[in-house]
Amino acid sequence: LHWDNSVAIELKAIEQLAADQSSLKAAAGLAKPAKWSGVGASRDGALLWGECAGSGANPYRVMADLRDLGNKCTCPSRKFPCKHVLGLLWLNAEAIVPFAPADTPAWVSDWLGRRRTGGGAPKTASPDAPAASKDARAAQLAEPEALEDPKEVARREAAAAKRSEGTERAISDALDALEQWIGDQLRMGLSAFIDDATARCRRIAARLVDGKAAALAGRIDELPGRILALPAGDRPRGAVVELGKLVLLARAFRAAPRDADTRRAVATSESRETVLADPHTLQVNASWEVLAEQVPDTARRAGVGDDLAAQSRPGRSALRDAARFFPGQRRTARVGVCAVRTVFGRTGLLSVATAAARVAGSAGGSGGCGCAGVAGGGASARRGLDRAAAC
Amino acid sequence: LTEPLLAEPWTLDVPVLLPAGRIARDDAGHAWWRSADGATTLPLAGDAEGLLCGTDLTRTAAIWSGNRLTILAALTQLSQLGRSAIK
Repeated sequence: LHWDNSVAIELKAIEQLAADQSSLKAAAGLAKPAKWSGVGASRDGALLWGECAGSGANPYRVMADLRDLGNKCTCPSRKFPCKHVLGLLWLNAEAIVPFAPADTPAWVSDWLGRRRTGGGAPKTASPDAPAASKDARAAQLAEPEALEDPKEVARREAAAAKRSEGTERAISDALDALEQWIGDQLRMGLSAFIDDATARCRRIAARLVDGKAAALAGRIDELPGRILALPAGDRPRGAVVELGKLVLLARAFRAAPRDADTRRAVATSESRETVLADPHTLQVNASWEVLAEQVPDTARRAGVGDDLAAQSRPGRSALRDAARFFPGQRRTARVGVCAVRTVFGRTGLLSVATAAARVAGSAGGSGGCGCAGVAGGGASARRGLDRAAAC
Repeated sequence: LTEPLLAEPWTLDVPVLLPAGRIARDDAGHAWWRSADGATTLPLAGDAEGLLCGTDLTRTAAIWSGNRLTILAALTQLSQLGRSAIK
C-alpha cells in the first residue's frame, strides 16, 4: 500500500505466491505484452485483470486483487495460483505493460461479488427462471436426439467430465489450504484468532471461493459473528468447536465427496429441480406453517432480502409473490425435504423441515432461504403445531 | 437432542420442536428452557424477555446448537408467540 493509497506488488511477493519454481518460470514466459489483451486496473490499482492467450480458441480471463492477493483464472490448471495469474502480477510489478485505470469488466465484478459474499449466499431463482427452465425442457423435447452429432455429444461429455475433475481438484486443494490455515490459527493462539477473526476468516473464505468451496466459504465468513455472539468467557471454547467442526467437515468430504449432505456443506446446494427429481427426496404434500425465517448474513449481503421484497411489488404474478415467506403464513405445498431431523424421541418423534427445503407446486420457492416450518393442517396455530407433533 | 448433531458432527445446529415447558432464570440471570416434567433443561442464547418469560409454553420451536437454544416461536395457552414477541 502506497502513501497515496494506491496498491502495488513486488516481484518478491510473486515469488512467495508461486506454488513452485516451474510456475515462476512459466509465468516469466507469459510476462510479455504480446501474450496479453484487455489489460486494466481499478482506479486505486488494487484490482488487475487481463486476457492471456492460451492453447484454446478463447483467451483465459485472469484477475487478481492486490489487497489480499486473491486471484482467479479461467484456465483448467490445478496449480493455485496458475502461471497466468503470476504472469499478470509480473506484468504489473515490472510495469511491462501499462495498466490503465478502467471500469471493472463484468467478469471481474462477478468474481469480486462472489468473494465479498463468501460465496455462501443461496442462489435465488430469478423471476424468469421457471419460465426459462421450462423453455429449456421444451427445447430438449422438441429436438429429436437423432439430430445430435455423436461426436459433439462425446466432446461435450468429455468437456463436462474434465470440468468436474477440475472442480474436484480445486475443492481438494482448497480443503488442504483450510486445514493448514486452521493449524496456523491454533499455533498462533486462540486469543489472537478471536481478536482478528473477521479479517482472518475473510481471507481464507476468499481462498475457498477461488477453490470452488463456496458453501464452506459462506460458513467461515459467518464464523466470527457466531463466536462474538458468545459471552466473552465462552469464546475460546466456541472457536475450538467451530474450527474442529470445519476439520471434521473437510475430512468427511474427502471420505465421501459425492455425499449430498457434505457436498451441500462444502461446495454448493443442488437446484430445486435436482432435489425434486431425486427419487430419494422425501416429498411431503401438506399444509405448512412458517414459524420463522432466517436469512444467512451472506445471503443478506448478497441482497436476497431486497430481491424478495422486489418480487412482491404490485404487478408481479401471484406465484412470485408466493415465494415470500413470513411467520404465521400457512400454505399447502409439495415440499421436497433435503434433510429431516428427527428430534426429541422421548416424547414422540417430531420432524421439522429444515432450511434446505425446496418448495414446489403452487408455493413457489425461496431458493434456499432459511425457513423453519412445520407440516400441519389445522385451522389454527395450535392445531398446526399439534399436527407437527404427530408427524 | 444430541443424536442429529452426532450423526453429522460438523453440523452447526438442528431445528427442534420441544414439548411443554417454560423459560426460567437462574441466580446469575441466565435464561433456560425447562421441560414441564423438569427432566430437561437447556440454556438459551441471549436473554428471554417480554411475554415469553414465565409463560407456560405448550410447544416451542427452536434451533439447538449443542450449546445454546434459540427460540423461533412458541405456542402458549393464549396464542402463538413469534420472534418479535420473544426478542
